[in-house]
Amino acid sequence: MSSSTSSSEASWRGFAGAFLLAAALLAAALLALAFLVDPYDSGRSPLPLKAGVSPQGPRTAAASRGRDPAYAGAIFGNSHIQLVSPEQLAGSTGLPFVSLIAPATGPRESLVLIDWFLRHRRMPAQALVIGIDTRWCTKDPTLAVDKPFPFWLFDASPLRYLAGLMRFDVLEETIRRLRYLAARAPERARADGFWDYEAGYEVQGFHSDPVRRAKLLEPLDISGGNTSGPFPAAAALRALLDAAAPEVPVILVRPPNFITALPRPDTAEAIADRACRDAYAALAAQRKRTALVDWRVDRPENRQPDNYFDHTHYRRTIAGPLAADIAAAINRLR
Amino acid sequence: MLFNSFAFLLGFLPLALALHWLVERFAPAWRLALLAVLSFAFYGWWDWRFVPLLALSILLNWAIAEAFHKTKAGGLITLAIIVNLAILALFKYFNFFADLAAMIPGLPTTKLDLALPLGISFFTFHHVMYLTDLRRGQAPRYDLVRYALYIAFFPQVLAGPLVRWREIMHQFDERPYLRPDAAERIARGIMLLTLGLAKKVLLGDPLAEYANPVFAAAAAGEVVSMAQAWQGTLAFTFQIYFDFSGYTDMALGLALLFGIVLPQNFDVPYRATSLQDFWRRWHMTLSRFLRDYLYIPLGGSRHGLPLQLWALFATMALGGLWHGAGLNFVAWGVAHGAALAVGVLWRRAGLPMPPMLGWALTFLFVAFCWVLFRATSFDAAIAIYKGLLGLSPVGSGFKWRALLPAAAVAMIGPTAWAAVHRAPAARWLAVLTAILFVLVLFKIGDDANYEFIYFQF
Repeated sequence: MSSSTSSSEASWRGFAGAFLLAAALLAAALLALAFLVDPYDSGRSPLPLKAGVSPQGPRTAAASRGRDPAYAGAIFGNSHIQLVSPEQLAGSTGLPFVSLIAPATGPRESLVLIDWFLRHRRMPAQALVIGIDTRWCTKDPTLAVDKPFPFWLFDASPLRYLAGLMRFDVLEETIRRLRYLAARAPERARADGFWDYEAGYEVQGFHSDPVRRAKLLEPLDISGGNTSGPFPAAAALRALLDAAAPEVPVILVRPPNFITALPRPDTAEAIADRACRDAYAALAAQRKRTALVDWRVDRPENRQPDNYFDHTHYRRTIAGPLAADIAAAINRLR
Repeated sequence: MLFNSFAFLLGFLPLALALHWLVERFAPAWRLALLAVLSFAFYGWWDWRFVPLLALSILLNWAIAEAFHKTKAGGLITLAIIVNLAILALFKYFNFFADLAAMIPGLPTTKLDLALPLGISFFTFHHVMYLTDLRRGQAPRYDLVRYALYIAFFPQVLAGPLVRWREIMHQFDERPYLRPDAAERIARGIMLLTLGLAKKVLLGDPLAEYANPVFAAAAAGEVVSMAQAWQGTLAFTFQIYFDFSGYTDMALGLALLFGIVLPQNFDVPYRATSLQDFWRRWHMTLSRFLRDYLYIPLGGSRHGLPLQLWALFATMALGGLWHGAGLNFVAWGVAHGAALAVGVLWRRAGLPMPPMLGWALTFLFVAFCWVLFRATSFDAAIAIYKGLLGLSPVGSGFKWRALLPAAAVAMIGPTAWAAVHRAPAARWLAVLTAILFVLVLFKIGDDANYEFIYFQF
């Protein structure tokens, strides 16, 4: 080997070493920064940081909202329970409520958020309101997830949380978080998590477009339901409540659906719906301080098309009475 | 596992490199066996059920090669090639031909619910290359470990490049870390791997957000506006380039880390000034394979114009079918075959073709053909074509800002291979590479991390 080759090889060895060192240092520095800045206000940073987060999606904002000590009760589920107002529940029950819903989620995500909320109570929680839509009727024991969800953010393991920080979204949020922390009066995501979807639906013409209205009036295909059980989401919910909140009042809500999304009597769909309802009714009956509020039934409100945007998304005209029913159930259990 | 995953980059790769270094240093006789084991572990990570298929495929082909050495019976090689193609057909094309057969009234419909073993199209061609050259008397005998590594070497087992035995086998017998340029290879391998990851993750994947909704709308029977059609088509045109050439850069970079030089697969294909030029720059190792093992045996260019045109057409049609078991892939290959034949006639007639015009026509033709490649049905492709040709509403919101950087990198810049081989051994470059690598790592962590398009072939 010539001396020039040796010298060149030494330079390339230096290149490889510099790459490894720089990559390791940079990755460690970025992770450390993200950990300290705590981009989603998950409470894991040792630094005393400003509470709350800048406006963002409910999946990540739930980390901050779910540990807010101001709240004694919480609403869980997806867009099918989203329009239930925490303010209205608070007004009717005297309990401060936070909405920890995340659109397009199922039981697995809700269970994680219930656990997160319960883990962060200094005082025992006073009420849990859980939207039980048809996704809770699955027989899939894995409770498969449709859309990405930041499970790492709510994980009890610090290592899994650290690994989860290694994502570009976190770097971007870290920068936003630094701005939020530096600002005197930063714009903050709504603390109680309520997010009224009416305006968005109106913009898309869900209420005014005759084509969409015609679609609403057509029967929704709800075939393929779970007619024979088991209902692993019900079992998982029961296990979580037994372990983490045995005394906490729980309201299980079957959210309203328009009449064309309800099963016709004496069909396989009706059998599946009944079986699922029975599973959660049994949970409510067997567990103390638990009630089932069932609006997934044929009632006048569910026959009025003006009350709905689509088969499963109702308007405030239904959300108000539904919240009143939920509040009444909470008051009966206390 | 995906090259663009934490499991690979932070788990498998460091472990494999450490083991490889240890064995190369202290027990070099076991180096190839270790690489073979690592390659099987890598392959099995996807789905362990396919490991026996890969192992059996290697064992059977090697045994037939051994038998050929003893008997010199050419029929053995023919039989082996037929069996290889039959296995490929069973896994990849059975349902395709069943669907075709079902179009004939009276024939029963039989379907097989078989998962496609990853890389089967690629390792089948590796077998074919070696066995064909063996019968021609060009390829020597190899022991089982070397043959297994030739087929299953993890940087190239899933999506190429298609490596000829003579390009790689002699490298297996080297002591890579005793070479005078060992550190240089490793450093250039790091750069190539990083650039490949960046091309895939930072350039290719984001383009999917502009292509996917358009093709999904077409598949759903919606009218695709002119703006949408051009956006979707151009986005996919660049996405597939960055996806596949990025994968190849990663494969080449990874191989360099283990002291192996793999052949290039791309040479700025969207700068091609003719379709013939395009196929010399795009998936170059497949083009070579098709030329040497299909086009020339079918007649090539030395037996008259009609046979040449037929060979060209048939080669490209079969090449299209190789990419996927669907009539849209056949149509894509047929279109390329027909256009290549027109190019032959054009050149034979001595007609002029200014380079800029040739480039524009080639790029437009290639982009138009990608619609067939990406669309899930002919109806969907037609909806896109209507938009491209202005037969649907003009629409608005063409995202040219998203396409411009991709177009610039794809057409103006050098290939990653060329850039890396010109790069100096400078510390600042190492730090820049590290910054890019860490950014890619963080990007990989995001929930939207995509598989490689070419894995489905």
